[in-house]
Amino acid sequence: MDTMGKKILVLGGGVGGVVAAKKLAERLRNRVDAEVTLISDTDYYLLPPLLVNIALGDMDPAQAQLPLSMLGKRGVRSVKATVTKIDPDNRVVETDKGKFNYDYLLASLGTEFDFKSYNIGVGYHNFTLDGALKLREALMNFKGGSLVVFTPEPIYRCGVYPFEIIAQLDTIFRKRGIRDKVDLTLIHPFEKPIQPLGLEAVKITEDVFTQKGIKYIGNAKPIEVDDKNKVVVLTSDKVKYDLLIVIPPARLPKPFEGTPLVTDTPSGRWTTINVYTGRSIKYDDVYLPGEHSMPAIGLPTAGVPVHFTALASAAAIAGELLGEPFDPAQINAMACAMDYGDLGMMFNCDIKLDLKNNKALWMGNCYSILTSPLGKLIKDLFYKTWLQTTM
Amino acid sequence: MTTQEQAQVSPDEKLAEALSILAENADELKGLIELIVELKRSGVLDSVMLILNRFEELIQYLFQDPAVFRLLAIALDGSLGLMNKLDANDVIRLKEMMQNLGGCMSKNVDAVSNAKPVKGLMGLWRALGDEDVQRGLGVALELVKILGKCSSGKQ
Repeated sequence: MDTMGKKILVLGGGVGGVVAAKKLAERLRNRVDAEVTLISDTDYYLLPPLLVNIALGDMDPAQAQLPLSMLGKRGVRSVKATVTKIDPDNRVVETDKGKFNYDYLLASLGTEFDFKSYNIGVGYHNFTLDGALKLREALMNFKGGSLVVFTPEPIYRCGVYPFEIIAQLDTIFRKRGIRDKVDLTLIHPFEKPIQPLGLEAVKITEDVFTQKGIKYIGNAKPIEVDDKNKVVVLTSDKVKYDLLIVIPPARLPKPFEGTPLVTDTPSGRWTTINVYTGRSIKYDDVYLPGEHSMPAIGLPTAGVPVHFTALASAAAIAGELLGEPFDPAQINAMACAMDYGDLGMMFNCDIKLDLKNNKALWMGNCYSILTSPLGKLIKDLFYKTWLQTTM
Repeated sequence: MTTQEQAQVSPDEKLAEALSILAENADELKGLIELIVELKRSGVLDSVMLILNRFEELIQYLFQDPAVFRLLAIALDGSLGLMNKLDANDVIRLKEMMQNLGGCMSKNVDAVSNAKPVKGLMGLWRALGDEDVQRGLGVALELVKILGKCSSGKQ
């Protein structure tokens, strides 16, 4: 196979982009004449699960991020630019810093956070570094009242997050001695908390919420946030708040809009990929192992499935360039560590890849591995080690 | 010191500042270096580096093979759940039983591996004459009774 000067373009400096760029560089360097370029709108990699630690005041931002230039030691060129358009027919990516051609494209652009719908932009959040810092300040100044965590839609980054943050806030307010002055409410579209993980997870979470005095409003049908009167308006209820934390619905990243990489699915418009390799179902030279592809194949919009789909995509590209058979090693298990304040939970979901229907099946196949305060420590160790070893 | 202020500091000033920090913490640094040398000599540091260098491989293996997670769920979560239902006296009694039974059984491993088959009703009849068999059957029936009681939700 002719591999002269192959250009591999990696879009996104998050989990998918970083692990794929590293894997490609490891496999190809000094073996194939290929150039790996990573384009990201920031010049650092920030581990999203640690944003909550920043918001809760446990961690400084510098401890949660690494400069993307570290990939330079592996021969990966990183470019700070914002991707504006992807043109797979002409193998071109447009950015605010110019156009880039490619032989292989691997895009992992996360999801857009929709803060416009339901007027949730008036609330605090920790889905960006700026958001986490503002939430930290708001929480530090919060002396009591009604705190509401509002999740208007079921597809958002990291499905377990709303259930964790509300439990963590209980612990924090207890430590600050103001818990008796705070009402904690979680509004969520699932009838029962953390429902997709199954009955065992529901029971553990319901017990935690009961013990902590957290009110759960499930099966919520949201209308809007009325910031003037400080209420979240649902079809069935109006919930008063003094401090509002919002979970923005996930949307398709803008560079994909209007491209043939996208299809309509029952869960919205998303990019579509082969569940086994992350390859676009329409373009052989395009791989899309990002959160924007997860809903279409039945996986959650979260780091773990993106991480392993990105590795599968990198293995596929490297295998093709090297002319070697490859094992995508797509995941058969999806473990998730959760922090419920004074309790940690580790859950695993067995995954069955249904190649015929191009789906990953996991709901109903989840069980607890550990429910103990030790789980918090394991979660902390896992993320910090992951960050330190990722580049 | 702000980033701008840092940028205005000359290399000599930076060096002087660094030397001053070293001098102020000389004793702690000496202890730290000795600790690092000891960790390196003992091989602990190399083991830690090996784990860190292969962390990615480790998690890829774990996420490839749900058997490991299944084992953890049963051995770790299941056992922890069980242990949380015991009180201190249960722990003492269970521990003694495990020690006594375990000690006795490990001394009779040869007898287990050389056990002869019990043939037919007559064979069973003869075996029932043995006092140890009678006692073992009593224990087994008691366990069966407890199993029935616990599975019916009486306790």
